[in-house]
Amino acid sequence: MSKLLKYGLLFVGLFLAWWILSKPLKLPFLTDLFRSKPLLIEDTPLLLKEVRQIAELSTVVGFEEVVADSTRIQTLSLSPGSAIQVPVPMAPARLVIIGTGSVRAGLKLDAITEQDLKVRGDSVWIQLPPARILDAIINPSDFETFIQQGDWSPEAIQRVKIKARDELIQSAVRHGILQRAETRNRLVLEELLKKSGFKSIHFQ
Amino acid sequence: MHLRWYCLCWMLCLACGPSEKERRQQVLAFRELQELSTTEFLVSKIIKANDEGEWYKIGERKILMRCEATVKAGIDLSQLRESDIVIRGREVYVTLPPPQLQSINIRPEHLRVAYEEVGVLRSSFTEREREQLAAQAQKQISRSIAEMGLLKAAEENAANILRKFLLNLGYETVSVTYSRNEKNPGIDE
Repeated sequence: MSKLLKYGLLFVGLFLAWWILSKPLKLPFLTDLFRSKPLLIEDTPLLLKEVRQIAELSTVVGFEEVVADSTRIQTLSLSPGSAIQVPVPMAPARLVIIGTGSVRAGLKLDAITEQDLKVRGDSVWIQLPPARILDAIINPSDFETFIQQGDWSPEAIQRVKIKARDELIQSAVRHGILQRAETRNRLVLEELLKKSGFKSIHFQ
Repeated sequence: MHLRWYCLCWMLCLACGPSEKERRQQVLAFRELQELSTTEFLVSKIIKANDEGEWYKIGERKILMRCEATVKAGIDLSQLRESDIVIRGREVYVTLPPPQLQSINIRPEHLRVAYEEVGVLRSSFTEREREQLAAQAQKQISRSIAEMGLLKAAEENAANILRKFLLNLGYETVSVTYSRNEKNPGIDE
């Protein structure tokens, strides 16, 4: 017994010494032995498919965190290859995804034509197009899978992520992003026109 | 009895490793911008990863994904000062700030698994792993766009758009040049 106690104490002592000295001496921690190396992708070439000229003036960006979920009743097939599926109501498959993204709003500058502008001396009258959503961005790195119970195919997960993006846009609109963009569009253009030499700017 | 106690201590000590939990702090709010996007690039990239496993994971895993991204570049009008626009009668001389990458958009429907091979003793790639691989691809895309000199197209388009806008306002001659800073800021990652 006392031998066992001695070995036990020796082991605990060695472990404590390793734990205390691991940081200053940069020794690998025991749990590091089971830590996976990060998986890196190869540097593959980028294919440029199209280059387009656009004229989008972004005046407001809204950041939002949204949640999208999907639930389905899981089914079992009676035999391999059978088309008859038996629902298993006690074990629904559930997927909950959190997405953190941004929505940009503003106006398309190329929608302002010669007919929308009237210049008289240092005064200008301008007919602005309505504010619009220019972009909704939730990239792969912005998603977090909060709950994943059951089997979910990549296509099913993709549908939930698209739902999250749609919710992001609707939420931004509900919070008044278009109204803010309308106000900002006028302010930004007024500033630009004043820098361009105009003293009096009127929006119709 | 003592053996069970030592085993329990061993398990508890193994669990007491340093843990990392990183969560980005997000600002849930609106922010004002004055960004004029003048060029949109549609790019595609193959994401290739090979997981050869660890000493305790036997077998390999490989995955190929296809990803399409829309990258927008343009100029930040908030950097345009009054002194950057010089007016001489019906002539106007504009010095624009250098163009920069403004956004990368990888839509969920534009990221697809093209091929996956998993060893018998390994588990499939999880959604979190696929997202992490796609995040690396996102960084490679923004680096490649800057290195390929595609911001030149954004420069030319910005000059064309502003020239047309100022000509519509009644100026007869519009000259657009760029200030040359040391570094073009990229997209916040």
